[in-house]
Amino acid sequence: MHTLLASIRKEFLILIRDWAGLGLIFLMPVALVMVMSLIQDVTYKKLDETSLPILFLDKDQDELGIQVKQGLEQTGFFKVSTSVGGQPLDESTILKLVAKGDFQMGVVIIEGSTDAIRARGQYFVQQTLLGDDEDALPPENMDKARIVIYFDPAIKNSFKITVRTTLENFTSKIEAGILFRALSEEVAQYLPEPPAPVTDPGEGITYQEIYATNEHTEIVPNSVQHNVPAWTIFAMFFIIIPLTGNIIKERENGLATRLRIMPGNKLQALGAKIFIYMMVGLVQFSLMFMFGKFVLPYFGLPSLLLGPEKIALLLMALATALAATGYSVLVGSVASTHDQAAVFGTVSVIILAAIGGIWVPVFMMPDLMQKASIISPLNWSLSGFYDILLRGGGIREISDNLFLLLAFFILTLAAAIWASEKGVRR
Amino acid sequence: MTGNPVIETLNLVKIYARSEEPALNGISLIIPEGEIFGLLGPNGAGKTTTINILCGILRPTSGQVKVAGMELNGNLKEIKKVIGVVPQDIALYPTLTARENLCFIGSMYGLHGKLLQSRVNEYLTLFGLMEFANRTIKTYSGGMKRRINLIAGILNRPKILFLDEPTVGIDVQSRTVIIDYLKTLNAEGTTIVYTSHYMEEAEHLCTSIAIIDQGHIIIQGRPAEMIDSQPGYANLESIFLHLTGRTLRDH
Repeated sequence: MHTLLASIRKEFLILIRDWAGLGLIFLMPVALVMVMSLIQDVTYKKLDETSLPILFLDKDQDELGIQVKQGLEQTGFFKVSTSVGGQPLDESTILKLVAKGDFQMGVVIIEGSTDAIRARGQYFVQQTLLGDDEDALPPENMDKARIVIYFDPAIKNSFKITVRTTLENFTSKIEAGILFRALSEEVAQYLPEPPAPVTDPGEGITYQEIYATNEHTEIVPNSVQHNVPAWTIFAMFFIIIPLTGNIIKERENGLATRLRIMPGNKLQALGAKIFIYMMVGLVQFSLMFMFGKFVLPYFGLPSLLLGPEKIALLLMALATALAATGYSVLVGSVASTHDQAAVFGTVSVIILAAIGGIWVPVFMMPDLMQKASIISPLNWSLSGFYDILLRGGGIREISDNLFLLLAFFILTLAAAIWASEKGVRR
Repeated sequence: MTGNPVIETLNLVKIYARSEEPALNGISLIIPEGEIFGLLGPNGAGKTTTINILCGILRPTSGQVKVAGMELNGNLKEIKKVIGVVPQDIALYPTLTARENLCFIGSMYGLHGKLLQSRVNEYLTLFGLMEFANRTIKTYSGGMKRRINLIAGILNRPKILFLDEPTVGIDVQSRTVIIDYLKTLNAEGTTIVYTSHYMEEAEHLCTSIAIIDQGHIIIQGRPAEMIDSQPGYANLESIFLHLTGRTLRDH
């Protein structure tokens, strides 16, 4: 027991005197969580929580132009400008300003668009009532309803699609309203008595969004709920840099040989490293989660909600810390030099993080990458944390993830011991 | 022979993986208790390989080894308790202080509490390092590191001490302190097995010597007898050059 405690004390002293390593394992993840949460915050907010300045020109000056302008303003997503620098807009100015990137988009309602929609309504009624009668010929302006959207060429395609879908969504409602009124007016001409006024009793189909959590409905997905666990896992696996450095330095300095000469159990020396770095992982987890809960709100971000399953969270953190330690010990045992371990360790963790869904959610990845994600221990950990933090799961729900992470720890550790014994080094 | 054999090897052979030439090719040694035994040879002769096998760091390809009267195979745990090793590398944690390094190493030998502290203080004082005890090893000079490296090997008061070039690259003062201490330690009953490239140092320190080259022992005996047996050679260095040649040994 004395030998184990002495080894643990020694590892602890080495760790706390490695300032660069400490910065890497504690400061880097805090910076990552903050930056990534702030950047991604907007994508998790509702549309009405941000507003994009856009240019608007109503050449229609009728029902469609008026309602589109009102609709754009009411979404809250757009800050509509009809003039720039006190000067009214024209189409060529809009084109110029958007092309320069001063505005990301401009909307122009083409002249006569409302009339064109009305003409369509009238034509439908006439066609229905008069059949092949020559009076039912389609009017010339029927296809002239048009909305032109100018986009900044630098804008992302996904954003363009979102904006266009939003516009189409409410313009189709406006179009339906104009058509409906035109139809009513046209039908009235053919009735002996004017019909009673028609009122719309409701909004038709409405959408209700509910997050499919188990029980804990107070948890709402946001950038903090996603980023804090994701970057905590990433940071926990980044102990690969100091830990492989520790193992390789020990070998290069002849300390590994000294440890073999001394009577203490060799596994005890390894056990001390595992214990210290497992504790580092748990401290990282605690710090990052406290940072998410107490510090991020000061930067205008939501506070991290931990939910009631604290034991499950702790077990998930423990299993992740062990998996990260096992992997680092394996890389440290196989790599010949510090540079080799640092480069391979960093690149492999970044790749495992990328395919594991740390940067981009797995469901957004192509099929091949989604299949590949199941081999990443960072993915097992992340989905476990999401089960607890976003889906309201407990120990039962994360048992598979815990099993995979612990199995990974045991296998990597066994491989590391085998590699050290056999001197398998590149 | 001054005592019972504490180290015995018989036809010791070591062939490293991916190597065609054996590093040791039938080494047979008997080292009696109380000797200062010098294992000398050019670079790559097999000195460190022999020491590493005797300490249990390497397994021999074939041959028999007995250390402290015990077969190496199967008794390594017991053997480790009675031997001390001073490796050629400064095998110390550079970011720990001398005291922290020694306390850790002492703990590995089962020392703890007051006994550990008093043993560490005793050796730090003996080697003139007490006032630097709380400085990290990375701030030490080469000679200071060598002295701490030696202390690390003797903290457990071993019956047999292996030293692999313990005085390489240090100043005369540090070398003198180390050599004087080894003589004292030997006088107290510790058997010392030592490798060196310094022939003059070995000639004066060792009670018995073996010159090894290309995995074979080419001569073995007491230094004075060895010089007497080689007419025309006035000292160990000239005998060494005569037996091993002047060809450079780059490995």
